[in-house]
Amino acid sequence: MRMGEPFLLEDVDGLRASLLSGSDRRTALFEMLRSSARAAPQDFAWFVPFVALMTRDPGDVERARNTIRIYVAKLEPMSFCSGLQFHFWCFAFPHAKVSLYFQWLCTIGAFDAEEEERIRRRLVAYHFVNFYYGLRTKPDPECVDNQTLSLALSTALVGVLFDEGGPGAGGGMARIMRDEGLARLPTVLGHMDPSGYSGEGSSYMDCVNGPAIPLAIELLERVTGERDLLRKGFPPNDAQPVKVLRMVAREFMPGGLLLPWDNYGYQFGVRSTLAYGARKTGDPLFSYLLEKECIFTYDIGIGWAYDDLVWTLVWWPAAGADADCPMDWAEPRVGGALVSTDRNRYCAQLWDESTPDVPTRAHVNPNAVLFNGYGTPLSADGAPVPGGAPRFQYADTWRTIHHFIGAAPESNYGDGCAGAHSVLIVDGKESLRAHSEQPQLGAVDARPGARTLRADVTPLYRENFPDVRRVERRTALHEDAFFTVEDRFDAEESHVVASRFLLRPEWTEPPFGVAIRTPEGATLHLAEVLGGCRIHRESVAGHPAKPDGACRLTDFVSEGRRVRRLFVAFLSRDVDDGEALPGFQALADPRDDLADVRGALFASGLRLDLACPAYMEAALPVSRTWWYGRRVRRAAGPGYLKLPLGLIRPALFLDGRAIDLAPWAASRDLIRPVVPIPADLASVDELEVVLRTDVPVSHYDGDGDGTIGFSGGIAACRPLEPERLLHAAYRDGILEVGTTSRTYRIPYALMED
Amino acid sequence: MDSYDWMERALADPASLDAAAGHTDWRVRYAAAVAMGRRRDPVHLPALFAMLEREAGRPLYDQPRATFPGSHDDTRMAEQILAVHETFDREAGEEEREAWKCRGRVKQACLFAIGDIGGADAAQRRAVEACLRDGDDVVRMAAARALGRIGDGASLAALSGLLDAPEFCSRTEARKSTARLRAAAPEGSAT
Repeated sequence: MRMGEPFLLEDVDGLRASLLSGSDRRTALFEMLRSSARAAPQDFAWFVPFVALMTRDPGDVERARNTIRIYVAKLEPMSFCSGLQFHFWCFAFPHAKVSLYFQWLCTIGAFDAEEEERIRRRLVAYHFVNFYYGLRTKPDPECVDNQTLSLALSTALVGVLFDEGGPGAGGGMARIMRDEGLARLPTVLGHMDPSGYSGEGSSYMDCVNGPAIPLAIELLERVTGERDLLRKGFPPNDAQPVKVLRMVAREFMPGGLLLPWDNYGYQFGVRSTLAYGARKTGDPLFSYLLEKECIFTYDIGIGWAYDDLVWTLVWWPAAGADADCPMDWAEPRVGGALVSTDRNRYCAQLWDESTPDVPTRAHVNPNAVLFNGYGTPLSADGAPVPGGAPRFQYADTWRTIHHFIGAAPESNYGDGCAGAHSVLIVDGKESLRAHSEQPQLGAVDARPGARTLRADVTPLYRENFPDVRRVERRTALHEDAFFTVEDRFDAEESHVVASRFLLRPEWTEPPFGVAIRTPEGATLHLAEVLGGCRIHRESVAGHPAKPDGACRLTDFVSEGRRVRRLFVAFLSRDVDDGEALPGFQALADPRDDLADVRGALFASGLRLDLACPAYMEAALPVSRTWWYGRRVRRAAGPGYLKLPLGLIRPALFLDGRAIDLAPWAASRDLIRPVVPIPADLASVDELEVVLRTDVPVSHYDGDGDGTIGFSGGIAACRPLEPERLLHAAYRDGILEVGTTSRTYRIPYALMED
Repeated sequence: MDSYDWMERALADPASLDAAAGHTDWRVRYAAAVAMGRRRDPVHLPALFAMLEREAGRPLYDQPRATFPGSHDDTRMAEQILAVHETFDREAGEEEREAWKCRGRVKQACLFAIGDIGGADAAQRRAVEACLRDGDDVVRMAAARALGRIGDGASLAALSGLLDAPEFCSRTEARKSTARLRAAAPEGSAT
């Protein structure tokens, strides 16, 4: 086994000094990890070894020893797990992490020689028969995905950690894993798409591929002696690993949610990848996202290990954030996003290719558009509620899945097909998808600097409708104020063509077009200005599961051989950002009723801002249920309370009255609830506000989907008079858009015939 | 000498391979098969096919679904550093439980080795072709891979059943091996 310094943390003394004696956000984050690891080591086990390495406190080291022992004891029963047998990559990566943490602890003498040897042998042999075996199941070089990357990286890492030298010195298994893992890893990196996007959606890019890149680069540089491998073009695709990091960053939308690019839907992003990108490249986008858009109370597995915050601390960049960093982007084979300068208006158009026949993660989204306004998602996309949404289950999209020993249930993948996305639907063929390996994309003209994205997706449609001649979409942002979405369809025969938009609830009733207003007060008004289409509206239950458990499906429909549409998409809002309300009295108490806790709550000397769970903010017990209360002075009139993100089993009381929070049950994990103050309380100038919430007390509370401890605090918000779209017309090459604030007259040439 | 030492010895000492190939612990046999494949010596082919035959007689895929109180029988267990124990709906002896942990691992290692060594005779090729119908995708993939190296014209018919398989890895290896065999076939031969 490699001894001397903790592998990948050679400057451990420098890291220790900065974490133990600093006074910045990095130090505060380390204190949060240390508090959690000490208060509940089995619940926050993934923090424990790193904390021990940093503090070398005997108590921390003992907890870390126990963590490794618990993991090793888990290995044999884990062998019977369906997950290990069918999804071994999910177990390989965390196994390598634990092996790495074991090596770290050995460098500080955490184990005696006999136990150290016993654990080493167990880790090596287990990886050899389960995960080296797993790596060999992946065709070389054809398999290039998060699974193969996890297997190659983990095998190389375990091999490097435990290889003990040449023949006769032991280490046969480790040497084999080292050699084959190190041979395979550059191959996987080199076969990645040059865009950096693996095609697996936001979840696997953010939670596996992105976090794997820093470890892969650091490992390869130490083994090969080469430098700056992050920017090296690995053959045969000349793929640069830095592009993976950059694509991870591009998945962020204003407000911190990632593009709902797969069957997991909207979610928050991890931090360690951004930290590494900022540290190694100095690209301001990484720093900006890390400082301004990340949620630090979000605990999600990276490579199936809840140590994202550990690696965030390890990679933390030296430079501060650039406050003004554009978020526009485009990749020729993937898609792009147009973002207003103030980041209040966002539209992504995506044209990445989907997996033929069964679009599991790589959804069918030929020119799908996704809107986000004022940091709030406006479009609906993602996965249905458990059990599926019948609306998007089609007769030809059933499959048998093999995920469990002794069972092969059926599932329907219709929600991955065209019909569940904001794309063109032809002749009602909602299960449209690719059926062969042929290209799905034609010409692309993506120029975010010019605020325009355009892509030809004819090949995908022609595979399903042989007489189709052209299917294109162009999105543009005009004067930082509104978007246009232009559709073009040509075919030899007449077809029914629908421009479909899946939107979040709820409809409003504008004088023309279609409009929605989200519960947070963000609005979208869609108006088609070329005419000739009818509007079909449909409320869909059960899809997507989040944030609303439903969506509003809108089709603009007409029939013909030649279809042209030009939409104006106007985004606005009717609730302001609000004024933060700090200094709530806080009390840990498991009781549910306000009457039982009120006295103790308002006698509490603990004052907190609800920026995060109390035990993360101060040396407080890891208690599950917390009460917060204060009196709030406000000007009389209508208003809202913007509650923290990530509340669990919340209860809100205003002047002692319970407020129904059920409307936010599905969304509160993703979006801060904006709760109207009841009309009869709006006239009072001082309100007693009491909030009860649970907090996560373990990595595992989220049942595999991660957890969010509440964040963001409470704010008092006011209604805004929204800027409204009054009219939109297109005539003689001029697009005229009138709002309550101004009128725009913009020369606009339709896509050429 | 415990199983770990046997595994390391098999990988380091060719003289130990025959004994390792017959070891009671499947992990040792797995290591032996890996070692044989790395040596690429046809002298090991009989031992490899003997191991395959032995695996065919084991209840590799008979495991009922396990439950893990406090944990999950899926990838969520990967993220947990928690004590777990398994329970089944029926009793099983040690050999049976070991077979369940093993599944297609030894078979995979043998098939990889057979393919890497090459030089299989007709009966051996037929035995590998039979593995294309194994109950485990991993084994089917390994058999398809091996046939790309040792197969003959008759193997193409066996491989054809996997060319459109829903599972990516076995489908990919079947297609690669088919292309490889066709490219290697003499001109004018029926492929």
